[in-house]
Amino acid sequence: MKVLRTAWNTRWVYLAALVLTLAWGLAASTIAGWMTEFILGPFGGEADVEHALARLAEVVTHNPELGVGIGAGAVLTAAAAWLGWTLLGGAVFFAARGDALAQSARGAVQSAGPLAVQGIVHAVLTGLALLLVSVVFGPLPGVFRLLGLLVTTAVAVLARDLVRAQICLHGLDKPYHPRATVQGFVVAVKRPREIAITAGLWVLKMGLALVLVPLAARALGPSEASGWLRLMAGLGLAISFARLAWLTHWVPVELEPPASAPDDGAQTAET
Amino acid sequence: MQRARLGLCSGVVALALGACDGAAQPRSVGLNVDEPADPLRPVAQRGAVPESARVTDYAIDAKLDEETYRIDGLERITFRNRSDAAVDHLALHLYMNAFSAGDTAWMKEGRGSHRAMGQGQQTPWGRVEVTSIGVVDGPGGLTLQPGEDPTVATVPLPTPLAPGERIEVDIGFTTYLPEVFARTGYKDDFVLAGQWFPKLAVLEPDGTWNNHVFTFHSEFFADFGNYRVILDVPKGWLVGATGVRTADEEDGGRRRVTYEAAMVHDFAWTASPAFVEHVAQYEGIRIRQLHTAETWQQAPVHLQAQEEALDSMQARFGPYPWSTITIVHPPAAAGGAGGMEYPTFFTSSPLFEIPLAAQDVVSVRLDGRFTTVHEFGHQYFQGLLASNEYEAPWLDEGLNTFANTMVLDDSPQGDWAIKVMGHTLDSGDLLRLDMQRLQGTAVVDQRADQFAETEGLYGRTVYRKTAATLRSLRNLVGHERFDAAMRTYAQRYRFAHPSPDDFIDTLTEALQDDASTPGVVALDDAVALDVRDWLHQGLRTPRSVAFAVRWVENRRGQSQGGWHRDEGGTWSRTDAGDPGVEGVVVLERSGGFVTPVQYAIAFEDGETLEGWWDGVRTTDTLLFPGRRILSVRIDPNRHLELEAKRVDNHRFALGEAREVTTEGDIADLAEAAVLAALLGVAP
Ligand SMILES: [Zn+2]
Repeated sequence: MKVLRTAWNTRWVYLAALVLTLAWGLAASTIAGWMTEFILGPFGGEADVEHALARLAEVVTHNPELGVGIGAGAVLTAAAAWLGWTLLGGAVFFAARGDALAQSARGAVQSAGPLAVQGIVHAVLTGLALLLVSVVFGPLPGVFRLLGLLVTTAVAVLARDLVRAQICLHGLDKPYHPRATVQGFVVAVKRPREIAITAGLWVLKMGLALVLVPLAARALGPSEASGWLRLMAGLGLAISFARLAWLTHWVPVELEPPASAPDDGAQTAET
Repeated sequence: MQRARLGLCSGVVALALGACDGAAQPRSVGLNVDEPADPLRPVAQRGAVPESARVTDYAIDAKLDEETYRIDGLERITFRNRSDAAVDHLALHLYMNAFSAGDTAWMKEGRGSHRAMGQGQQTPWGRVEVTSIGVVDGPGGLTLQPGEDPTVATVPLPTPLAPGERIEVDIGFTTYLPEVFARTGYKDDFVLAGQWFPKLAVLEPDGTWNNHVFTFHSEFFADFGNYRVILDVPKGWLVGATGVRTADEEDGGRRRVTYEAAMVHDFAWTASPAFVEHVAQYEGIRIRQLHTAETWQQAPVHLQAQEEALDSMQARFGPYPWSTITIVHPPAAAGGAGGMEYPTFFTSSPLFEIPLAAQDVVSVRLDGRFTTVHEFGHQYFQGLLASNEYEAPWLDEGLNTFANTMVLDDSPQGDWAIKVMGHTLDSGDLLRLDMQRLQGTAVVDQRADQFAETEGLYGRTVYRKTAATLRSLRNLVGHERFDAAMRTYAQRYRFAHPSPDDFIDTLTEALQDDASTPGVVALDDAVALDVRDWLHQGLRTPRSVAFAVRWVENRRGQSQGGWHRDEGGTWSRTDAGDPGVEGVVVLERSGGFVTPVQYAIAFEDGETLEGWWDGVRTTDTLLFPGRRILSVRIDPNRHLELEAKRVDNHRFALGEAREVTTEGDIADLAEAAVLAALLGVAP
């Protein structure tokens, strides 16, 4: 119940995030639609459902700028989103502990610097860890390597969540020192229960993200996909928010100085 | 059609039955089908084989040295002069010499690599050396005179060979196999010997030799005949070859296997101690697959492809005449040997396996099973209809590619090549995309060495443009009519050397409505298709097919009101009633290829009118007084697979509400991509 209440606290931040997300998606959809209409002129209305792929392939191969535009849009979105979510991720923690929307936003802005820097450190460390695992597990059968990569990713997700929660809710003495993220990994590794829950929710969210493009592909032709796309994006976001909110229940953890046998039980956040 | 589907026996079953030699994987999987006694199927199944087609017989005794990959051989060639003139010399292919140096015709084109595989480090070069040559029971030795390229040579005869006479020549030779990168050669303990023995060129009916050098894209043109080949390999090596195995003896550390083939124009073989054998049977044809440990579990999939190819091709092009098919799956390290055809024998490529979980998202059929369909297809278009690959490569690769798409179409799964989320790309879709890449620059009917080997132009033109041309014509004149014409061609030129003109003449004659209007097929009362001209445009010109709906509108109808003079010269005025509406359509042919095309006009009253446009002028206007048009479509039934750009084939009438299918699809995909990116990096 307590977790649910905490999650409910984040509703305004969630709504803000949802509106931003859907607006961004709508903008992309509208621009792509205009581009296509402009390129095709009076043509392109042929609803040949059985050859939908061929029709799209023809339009894109004759007009590669269309494909490049959509690809570039997605990449730019990912880059911009990384910055945006770094801020919003902070706001979720403040909101989860009961701060008002404006207060949460202020808190997120104040923590933005450390969140961004630790985010970059985390990205680098995660990359290295994945590389190491794939090299070490290289000689083993593929299924082991896949398992190793999955576990590493799960640990990395938890480590990032931990560091972010710590920055927002308790602050760090040296908020820009990479050691905080390193320590996040060290602490995360020792918490299999939290790893499992975090990873589960993260995988669920990623699963929804991965299914979006195939879903749109499935609906090629006269059927409409956008409603489903938006619903799934909203659901994925909600799962993300729930994960972060849940985490506030067992910070702080000692990220600095080096951990000395961290507490095994869940700790309650000071609210 | 009945066929035996008994060969699908898993390796586990084979192990349980003890059909293995105790190694990690079984040595033999599938049915225990006896080697047929005769290399040809019974007459009732295969039809007659004209005795006149038998020109050159070979008896070869060859020994493989597995340490040096050297083959020492002695062959006796029996040649019948079936031309109208006496010949004073023989012409020989020494095709292994294509790999003898960097400046051979083959290497100049290939630059030491083939299908992205480069020459080996250990033994980059291969060659064949004639060690002795002489007429049997004749006077002394003959001399070999080198040709323009090391792959050809001539041998002057002591006395001219008169028409109808035959001659026997003994040739001693040594072949040094290269490390395989282009079909023939060795890798570790795997040997695939193609183009490995001195072979006669083709004597044309006028008594001249047609002896082309071995170039990058062409290697076949030879006469039919019988082969008896003894292969001496190390004991424990499994051998596969053209024809049937008629003897198999072990002697000390060696194994001597005899193969006999009838009415074939080449002979290839393979040997390895690592082969796993999979045997099955189809209407008395023994289908033998030779795998290695890497791929033997894929045997049933290839077998299914092979059976589907036999089902389709026998029905379309007549019976497969031989009693065996050997499919070799080279190990990955010898991938350069994959995807190649020889009579009754071909090499395939591994399956491209998509993980089960992803198969609902993407599936492909254009993988190893398609290679099996394609290489088997050459048993007809090359093996049986033995056209000149140097002079007209499209007659085998192009007709074969056409036939391959028919195999897909005839198969129980239907014609699809790639599936993405339930949407399919079929053969026609893929050919259309290829036509776009060609951009109307390519002429099909050219010599193999006249194609610039850049950007895949050869494959796109010879294989795919030919297929798109034939499929388009088939769609225009009707499938049944076209299939019957192709059957006529395939029946007429079995065990023969058809030329491009033979093909065009046969189709022109077989497709026409009646002899009073030669080569003409009526599509409706007003529009007819001239087959010869159509094939000429498709095969011998670079013209591309392109149509568009140039204009559609509904304008005010023509008024009948106003002042008119009657017969008596008196002017009188009538009141203009409602002039009504008139639908106007302008059809446009923007491509150079002149072909009839269908159109479909959707009217507001719900009727859709289909008709044919002859496409002779570059634009034509159609008027429909009193009728309001919603939209117009050119080629609504997707006949013209040669047309790369279809998007302008459909147009809504000016001012009519347009559906936005394509815009909607692309907008949805863009939204999905952006939402996926946002959600993927979400906190
Ligand atoms: Zn081929």
